[in-house]
Amino acid sequence: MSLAISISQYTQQIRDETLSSEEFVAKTLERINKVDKTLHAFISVNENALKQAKIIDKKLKAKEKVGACLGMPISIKDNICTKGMKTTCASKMLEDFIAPYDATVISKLKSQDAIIIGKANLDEFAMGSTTEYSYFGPSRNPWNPDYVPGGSSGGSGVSVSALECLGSLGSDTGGSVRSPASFCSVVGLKPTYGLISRYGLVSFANSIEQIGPLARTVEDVAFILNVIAGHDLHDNTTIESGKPDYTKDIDSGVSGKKIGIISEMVGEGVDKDVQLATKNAVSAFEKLGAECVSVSLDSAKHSVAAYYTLASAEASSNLARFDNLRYGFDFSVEGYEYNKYISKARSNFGPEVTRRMLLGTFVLSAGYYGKYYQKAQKVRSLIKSQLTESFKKVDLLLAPTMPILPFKIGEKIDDPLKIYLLDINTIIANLSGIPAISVPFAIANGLPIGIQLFANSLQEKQLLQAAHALQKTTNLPGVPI
Amino acid sequence: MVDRKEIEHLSDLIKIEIKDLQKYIAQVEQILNYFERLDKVEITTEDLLRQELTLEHLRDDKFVPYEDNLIENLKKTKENFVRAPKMI
Amino acid sequence: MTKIGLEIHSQLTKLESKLFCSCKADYRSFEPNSNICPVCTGLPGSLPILNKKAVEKAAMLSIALGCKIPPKIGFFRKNYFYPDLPKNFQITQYNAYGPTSIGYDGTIMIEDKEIRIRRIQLEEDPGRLVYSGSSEKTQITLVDYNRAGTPLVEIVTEPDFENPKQVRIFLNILADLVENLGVADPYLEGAFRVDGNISIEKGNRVEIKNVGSFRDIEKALHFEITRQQSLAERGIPIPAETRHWDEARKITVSSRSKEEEQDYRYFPEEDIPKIIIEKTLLDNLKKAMPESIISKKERYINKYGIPIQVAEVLSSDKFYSDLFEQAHTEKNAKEIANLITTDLKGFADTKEQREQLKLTPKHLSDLADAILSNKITRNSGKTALQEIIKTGKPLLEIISSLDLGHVNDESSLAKTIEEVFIEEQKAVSEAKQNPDTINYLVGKVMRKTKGKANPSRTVDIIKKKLDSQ
Repeated sequence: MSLAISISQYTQQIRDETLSSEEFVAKTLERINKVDKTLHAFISVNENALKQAKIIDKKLKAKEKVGACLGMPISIKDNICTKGMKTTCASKMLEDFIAPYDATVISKLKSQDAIIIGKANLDEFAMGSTTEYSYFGPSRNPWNPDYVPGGSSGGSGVSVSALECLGSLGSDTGGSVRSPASFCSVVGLKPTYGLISRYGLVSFANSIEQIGPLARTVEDVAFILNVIAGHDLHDNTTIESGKPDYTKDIDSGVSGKKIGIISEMVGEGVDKDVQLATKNAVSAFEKLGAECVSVSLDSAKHSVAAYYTLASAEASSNLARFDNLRYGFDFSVEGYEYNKYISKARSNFGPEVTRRMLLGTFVLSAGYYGKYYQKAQKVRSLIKSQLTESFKKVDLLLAPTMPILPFKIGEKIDDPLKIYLLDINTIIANLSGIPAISVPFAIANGLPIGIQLFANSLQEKQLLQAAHALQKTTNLPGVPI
Repeated sequence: MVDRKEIEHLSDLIKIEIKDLQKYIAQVEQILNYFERLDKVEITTEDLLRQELTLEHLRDDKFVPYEDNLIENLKKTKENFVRAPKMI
Repeated sequence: MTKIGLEIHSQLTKLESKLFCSCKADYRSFEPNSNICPVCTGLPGSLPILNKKAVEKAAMLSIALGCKIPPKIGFFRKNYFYPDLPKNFQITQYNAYGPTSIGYDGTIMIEDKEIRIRRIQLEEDPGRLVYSGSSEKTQITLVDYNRAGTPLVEIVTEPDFENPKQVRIFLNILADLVENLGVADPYLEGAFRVDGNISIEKGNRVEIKNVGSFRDIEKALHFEITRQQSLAERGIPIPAETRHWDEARKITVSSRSKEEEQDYRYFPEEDIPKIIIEKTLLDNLKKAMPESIISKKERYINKYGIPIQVAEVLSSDKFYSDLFEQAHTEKNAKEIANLITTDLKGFADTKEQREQLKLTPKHLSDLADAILSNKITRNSGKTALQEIIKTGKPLLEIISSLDLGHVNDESSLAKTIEEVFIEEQKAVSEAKQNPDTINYLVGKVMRKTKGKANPSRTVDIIKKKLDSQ
């Protein structure tokens, strides 16, 4: 029995009765035991996973109705609430927090009989691009454990890549699903804003972030999307999107499609290996019958400034609730006056979170609102309108997910702005709300390179079809660990 | 633009006690300088087209008691209050 | 010139659920922290879900106060730290970047003064703090989130009030309005909170907070005006500050000086999309609204010839106007209006009085008819009314049991007058000289007959008697 199978293969084998959930989950737990000491993808592992698997097997044996997930092990980024399990956001501030309720996406997964195998590591409160800002220590890239796995959903990327689960839910605010997908050589999707309920996702930048699935194949990602997508009464920002089947017609291909290559994202500042991979991806698409043209998106150069202005502003407000009074960590109020207590408790935020809260407070403070925040919102509108214009001429857009290869842990940690600039290719999707996906495409010097596709709002089906077509042209080696 | 006083004021607004102010002063200044480019962008585009709702999409006014005894999951006193520090 | 502005917070107590979640809007009967959910306790990952009826009710209030309603409304976050604020920000509305609150730029007439309504906004109430511990040293703060998230409308006026009386009238109208519209019960404890700001000529603006009952606001304002004036007289500058009303001592006390203006860093609440207020909605709300106070008042004046003052009092109180509507006929409308606003008022104003009231519309109608047909004097009517309020017995029974019928019998009246002339000789001689003082004698007769004497007959007889002497 191999762990290196896809969700499609897993469900087939379960239905064929050549595999049981208990077997697979047991093997998965073994694997986690073996590799996670090194990789540190997980903050916590579900000790009831095997028990839950046995229950599902029992139902299967008795020919009772079992949900579409058929007991598959899924990892969940630890900023998504899972009832009865620790939900720490990789922060000391939530060290002892056991979520009293399930996020909507978790309820959906559970109702389809998925098994939450564990909570995945992340940059603290999802703020970061390398998972080095986790209070519990960094996760490590399975392709080379001295290297960063990307972030902020690093644990998600690692656990999927290292065969510690069949799929994962991460969250993507500035590229946080696609970056680890690219660095770990797996598929990661950021859906259209409003497609997935955020109820239960610990807010960082609430007008920008979305929960997104990671898996080893595009088809698997589409499968997970089917389970978690949809309008939710608990989230006023979700859209009525109908209930399309994202796996249906996924191999329709790209014949006749027009794909725009974002010129600003393939030139200066991009690693040679990444440039080459991009060229090859373009050729692959042309061979499949797509027409590839160059497209300019000049507003993209303002995207990082706009994003970090808005995201920091929202973060400074969203994280205000962490005052350690109702939930948090062990620190008694005895002997303290209110302001002193709160300030001391909150001094336990890590440096990146602290930095962003300072920035966010600054840009919202009296006198600066027009200069930064409102201007950033205008830039956001500009980006959206330029993208809308582009999609009148092309069906999809293409760019490398990350402008560089994965780098060593600790290499960039002292230069926050440098790390912010790594998001330059992914951020336009977040600011505009359009969907984007990273497809593992190449390995250079043993390190993964992902290619990114963008589609217009609610065009996930089209996006997945193109991503699937691209992935089928690849024949990448398995993870070396 | 960003001096010690400013960072102190910000850290007070955001209620975070910061030990090594010096480090943050430099970093925040650098990043804010980067944000300055926003000011130079000429923009005439209108508001972002985000979803807007009409009243029929809103929640009906019904009392639905929460299914769990939530206070049991929070930090609390014996009498089920949440404890806060002394107010001055 | 004195300038007074008001900031009123009214809970929408007639709603079933809170503003952003389905916990109960009226938290008053719950044990501590038993009316809570992830949303109103600000748990990580929770999101606000707007209450449709809150928007409708607030819109109705805006319409009734003559406000403009923007085509789209939005919400903002007001960021500050306090233990009763679960998210450490309040979701509220804010017009500094353009009108997006549920109402703005309205007006309402108080007697002849136009009071401008700056804005009306929807927002959530925080939780409640309870302090326990005997001394200041042992004061522990305890937090109860049952109230957190309760829907509020905040109504802010321009500083157009010139005196506390106008404020009182306005608040009564407002309280009746919210009751009338089925928006809130202003008499519930803590449901209707008033803050004021006041400045006298050339003085700084002072804010008054923590006025518990809106009946106390007039007292607080009077005190404050006096305090400010006495400072001004002595040439002492009036500091701009926040003061709170000390209910026990009936004075205002300085809280903190307002120098450290809080930076609330308002920005849009993106978890709640903009809400489109369609014209059809407003039209439907207007149709569904109960008759406005102004229109009632006009109807009373024009249709029944009720005097303006009386019509104002009657129309602005839902309880009394309902009573009037049920009791009156074309003929006795004016009399009933009179009875209500002169004699009933004072005895049926509070919630408790109204609950215990035994008077029915039929009582009023019978009483009015009896007075109009001279069966009993108006004075006797007053007595009868008191009895009705207490016992609820039918009018006829009361008239006979208390012997309230007219003393029309000339001979017994003459006899009584004779008695008074003997008892009040000094007054009689005075009346002979000065006919205006005749009322004293009339009063004595009325007293002796327990108000049953026919006043005009009494006057005639006394006059005749004086002339004949």
